[in-house]
Amino acid sequence: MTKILAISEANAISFHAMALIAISEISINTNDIAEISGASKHHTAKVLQRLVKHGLLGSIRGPSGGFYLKKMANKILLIEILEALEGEIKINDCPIDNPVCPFGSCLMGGICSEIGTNLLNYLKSHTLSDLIVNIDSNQNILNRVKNHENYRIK
Amino acid sequence: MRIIGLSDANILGIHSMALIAASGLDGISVHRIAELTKCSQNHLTKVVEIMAKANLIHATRGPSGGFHLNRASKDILLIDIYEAISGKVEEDNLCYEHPNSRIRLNFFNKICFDLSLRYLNYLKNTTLADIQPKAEELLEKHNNK
Repeated sequence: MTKILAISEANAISFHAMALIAISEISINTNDIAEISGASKHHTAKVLQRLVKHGLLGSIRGPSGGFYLKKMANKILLIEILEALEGEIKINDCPIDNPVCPFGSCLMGGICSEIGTNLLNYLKSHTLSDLIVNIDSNQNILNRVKNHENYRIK
Repeated sequence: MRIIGLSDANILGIHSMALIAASGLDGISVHRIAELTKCSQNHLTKVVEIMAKANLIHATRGPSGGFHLNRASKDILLIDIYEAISGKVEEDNLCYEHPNSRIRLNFFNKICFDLSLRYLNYLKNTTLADIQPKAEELLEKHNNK
């Protein structure tokens, strides 16, 4: 079975990490984010570094340290999270990446470009606040994060 | 960059199949498809092999050999090509979800679902015959050069 829409591991980690940090009332660390998002600690750390470097996150060192948002969640566009990792996003009209379509006009009627543009517009018009509106967790993980009850997953 | 995973292999598969359909009885070689689409011949070879394995096309040998469709282009849906390369697609599994994540970003899932469904419907409702004319025009243009 396959998924039509595939997002890179790094982008998946960044969206999960930003969402978790946004809903957390304490600064949340790399280990916690990696554990909840199901990614490797090493990869998560790299992604978080990029988000810090792009001014989306701040970090506090030490045993009770972790990451926090540098801006309000409703001021962070989803496209900023994506572009922090990927650089500026541009949609290529040609699905086989030719500068000029060899077929004259797109063989597939421009559907790939249409889907890419729709997703891009969506990411440009929604914020991290929208992303965290409706998060599901079967294990009440998020409540534990929110309530700050000596939170640590074991 | 391509922000969503409409994979290169799938896109190349659809473009190659359109050219194979357009070439009719003459058939077309991978080298010629690569020349026309300006895509990597190695990548195209792998994609075309998958198509042959899925019984959508067959090859004829020799100097004038090439690939031919195994059935009429009106009887091949683009989803057949997609699934030959990427495996079965199921509508109830279109949401974006990180495989090991313990949370679900429902907001993000919604847009992924909507866009995936749009693409899936296009693949399910479009036959190779629908996109074949553009490939025929390209072949004709290059044959006249």
